[in-house]
Amino acid sequence: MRKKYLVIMLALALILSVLTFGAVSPSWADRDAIKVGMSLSMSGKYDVFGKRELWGSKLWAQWVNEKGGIHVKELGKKLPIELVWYDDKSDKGVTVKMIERLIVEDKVDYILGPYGSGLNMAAASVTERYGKLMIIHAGASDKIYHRGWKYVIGVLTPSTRYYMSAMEMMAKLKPEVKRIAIIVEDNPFNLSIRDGIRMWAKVLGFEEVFHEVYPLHPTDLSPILTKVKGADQDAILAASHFRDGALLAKQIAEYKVYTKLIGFGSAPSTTEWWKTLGSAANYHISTSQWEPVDAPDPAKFPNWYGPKMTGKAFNEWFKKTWGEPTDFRGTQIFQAGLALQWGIEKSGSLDTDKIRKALNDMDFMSFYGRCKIDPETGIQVGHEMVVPQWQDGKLVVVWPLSLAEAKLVYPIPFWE
Amino acid sequence: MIGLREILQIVINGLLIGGVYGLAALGLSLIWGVMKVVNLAHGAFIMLGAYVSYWAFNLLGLHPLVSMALGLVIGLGVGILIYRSVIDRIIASASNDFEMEMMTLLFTFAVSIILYGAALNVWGADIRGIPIVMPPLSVVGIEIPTSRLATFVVAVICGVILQQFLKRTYLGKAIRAVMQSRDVSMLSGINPAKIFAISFSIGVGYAMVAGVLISLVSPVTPFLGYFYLLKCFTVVALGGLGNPIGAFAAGLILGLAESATTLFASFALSPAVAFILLIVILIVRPTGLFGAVRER
Repeated sequence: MRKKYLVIMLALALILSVLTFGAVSPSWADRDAIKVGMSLSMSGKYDVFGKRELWGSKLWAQWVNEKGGIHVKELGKKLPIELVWYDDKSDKGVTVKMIERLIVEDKVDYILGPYGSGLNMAAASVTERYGKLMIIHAGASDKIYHRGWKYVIGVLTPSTRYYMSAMEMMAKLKPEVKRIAIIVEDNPFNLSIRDGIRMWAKVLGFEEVFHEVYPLHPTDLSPILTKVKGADQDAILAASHFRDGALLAKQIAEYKVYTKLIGFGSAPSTTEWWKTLGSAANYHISTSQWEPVDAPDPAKFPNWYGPKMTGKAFNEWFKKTWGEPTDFRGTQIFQAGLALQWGIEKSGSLDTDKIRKALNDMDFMSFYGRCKIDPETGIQVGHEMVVPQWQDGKLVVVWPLSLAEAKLVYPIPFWE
Repeated sequence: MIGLREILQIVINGLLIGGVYGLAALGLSLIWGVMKVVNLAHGAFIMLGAYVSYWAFNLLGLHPLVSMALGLVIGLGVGILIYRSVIDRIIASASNDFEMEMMTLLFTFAVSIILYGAALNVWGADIRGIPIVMPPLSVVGIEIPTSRLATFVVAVICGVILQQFLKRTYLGKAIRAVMQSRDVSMLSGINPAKIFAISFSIGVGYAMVAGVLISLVSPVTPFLGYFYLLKCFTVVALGGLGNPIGAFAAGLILGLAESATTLFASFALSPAVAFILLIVILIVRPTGLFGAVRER
């Protein structure tokens, strides 16, 4: 009897402590900075991306702080940004620990998410528990946003919309693209890109004539190519990561599989694609979150937010500051910073709930593109992918036309 | 839907990749067979070989078919170094076979972690590749990718050389003697420690050669070894220990099985087919298809 009583009391104490811990709201009035926490992959398999993200976020903080900070109406003053970050070693377990440390020990106010859907999923389980707002800049899986999480929003195009722009482009081509072949890696992210392809194929009227899934970490994809060679297709759309995508591309050239148009998801959007494949990469299209083109023009958008410059100018600014140019990763985290800033300014508050509510009405343009979320899920619905194509060693944007640097080479000249 | 030509193409695809599997597994099979050491660092050595090839291509402009020799020499050196510095001592100090097997297993596991970690830190997670795409040979409408064919031919040559070395040379016979019985070979004046050193370095050398060849057909990353290590274990279990021809034949069988998966199911199932094959063989013939029944 006594034991049971003890257990109940202990449980009550536990529940109360959790409740009060969660309910303690920081006192905003005496704040002298807005603390933004980040878990970045500075080592491990995503190490290349972590560095660019750190630089992108520092550039944002520097830009904000040079103007005196973000104006918070409720407090009647401007507050500067203070970035706090740890290396998550590209590991889920470490990410969870680091996010918790940022919230509990460093007492950060908001989080900018880690790299990749897996790490974001892990991080969100922590930020949700503590009721912290997390802005995702590098997690594109739709699943993140369909878990009923309240304080998660994304600034990048989700995986099911990866091929949307490319397929809109395909729908306008002459000679017509009618039959598509889909080749996809067996992993949740690429399968969700595949689901997107199928969805847009229905909307835009493409016929799926071939579909094949290959296993993770493939060593040979020739069996698939033998089959696709027999399929009467106009375009091959692949959903792959870099290594398997490059293997697929190399074997497509080795087996002389001909198609009029070919895409490999986001993999070709890096210079490494050409370095790895050489001229076999010619005419490959990519689906890219962002490319450093001399557009869009800030003067044409009344809802422009953030630095008034084109993507190209941003890239030059980035390079001048850090000595290296950026890709979409350094830009996306800047956009995430802008979204947070927008939320704080529009709500006039540092309160997470008020900011989250304000973000439902967000709709702005920047050098990264449009930013607008679905109020229900927090998923990005405004941002559109751009379509670059490799043309003789240069990656040039061919779609949308407002950003295009060159004309799409279509159909691909037959190689001999 | 699928005609004779497609089936023939699928068979050729399977044989070509199977040759790579066979070559990759040769070194593992030798070390396992001779020393009873399960070399978990085998995949890491394959990865190192691929990087040797990548850098030889980029810094010296060497074609992988040339830098193979470089890979072999470096592999032999690294093998001797690792054997002499640690494995030798483990074998000498272990009080029984089980202890020796466990200690070397842990040690090679540690070596693999160190090598993967070092590769990740030194070269980063970037995926690299050697941008050589050779036009395929077309024979009656069947495409034979030149680079894979070259890999296959080299793999066959390597397998034959090892087989002949084991069969004909004094050293090779000594290796086989140690494989059969360490104690009896010592009675014939063979020094097992020396044989172990030679076998281990040949094993590592062959792993690096395989890595060099793989770089010709596949992108290079620090994780490359993981993908091949699993295949190698399957091949060794299929082919039997210390038997180059067996390992090679088993590689071909695995390649064919994976390739043929597309005939009746999704290619995504090909790893499952490989493992089902492995389980069946282990039940029906636990010594492997080509392994002799050995006394313990």
